Amino acid sequence: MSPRIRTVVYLFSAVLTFGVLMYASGGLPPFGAFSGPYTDFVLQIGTLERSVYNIPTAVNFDFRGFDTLGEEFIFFTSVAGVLFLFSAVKAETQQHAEPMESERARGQSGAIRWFPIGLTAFIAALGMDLAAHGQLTPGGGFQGGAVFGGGLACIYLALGLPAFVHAVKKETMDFLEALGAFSFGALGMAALFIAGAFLQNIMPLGQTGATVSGGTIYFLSCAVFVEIACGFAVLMLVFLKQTQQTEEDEG
Amino acid sequence: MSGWTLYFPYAVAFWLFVIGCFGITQSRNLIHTVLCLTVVQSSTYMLLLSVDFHAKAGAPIFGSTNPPGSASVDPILHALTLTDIVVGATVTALMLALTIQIHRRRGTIDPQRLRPMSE
Repeated sequence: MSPRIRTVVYLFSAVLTFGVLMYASGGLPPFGAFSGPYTDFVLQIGTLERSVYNIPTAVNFDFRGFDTLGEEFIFFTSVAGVLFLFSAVKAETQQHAEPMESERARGQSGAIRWFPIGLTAFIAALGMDLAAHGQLTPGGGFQGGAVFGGGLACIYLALGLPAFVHAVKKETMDFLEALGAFSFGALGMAALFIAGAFLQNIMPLGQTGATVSGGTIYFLSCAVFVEIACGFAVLMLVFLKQTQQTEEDEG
Repeated sequence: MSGWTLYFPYAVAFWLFVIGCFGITQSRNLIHTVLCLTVVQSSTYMLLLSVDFHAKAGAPIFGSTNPPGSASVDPILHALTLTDIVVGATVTALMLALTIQIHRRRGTIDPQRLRPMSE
């Protein structure tokens, strides 16, 4: 298909799609007017019955906890998928020798090398803070895990790939990621046997506003934090190793 | 707010969808294609968040200024948007991994030069 025909086909279908969608949006409640009974219900009982202030966290890990189990396994399987895609290559091209000190780490001033190290500690602490207070303030396991994983990237920026590979052990990260995913399911199953329903709250709720409160929600959030943080670490590790391999292939 | 502003956020969401598709059709680089897909996906965030907005309501995170039970935007759609973002990130990771594989096997990541499997 030539670029011109492609553009014409695109324009035709884009105008059509946009028009149909705009027409359909006339059936949606006007902006700012939507109100559902489910929403009011959750807002009313969220704090009373689950003793959390952050209602989206309560929705994620309690009211719709089963959905989050699915979401968590989507993440898990896609990390596994990336690992699988790259492991096929490894078998083909034979492992290269130990990676040399990367270009990035050479010829940098001390400030550039050491500033990100301090930043790593700061961002990692921020990630843990977000996850640990997910039931009180904006944040939660997913957000905290993503921030923590981003903090680990600073190790690479500062010290290059060998240091990153050394600091972030793939086996450990794989294990912790699986452990996080497992604990989520295990907590759900435990609730099934103790309380009779999957992912029902089985922990003491604690005092509303305390660091550890919200019952099962807090522990599910922590499990997700471990899984997401380690999943991001594994993803970065395999992608960064690919860059090394490609450079070697070309050089 | 009245008239066209009542549906403007929906229009922004649909525009993001359409313009992201434009990027995909015109793409000459698979990494660019993946980024365009994230633009398409961000239209779903826009749609979800504009559906859940309430005039004169706060965030669904309670505290001293907005005690539990006070007017708040819809927390369900916030949670769904979070799910959306997580799934989006994993899709991006998987697509980029596929892009690396394609580059390794076919020597190009220009989708217009990639012909159906022929080797």
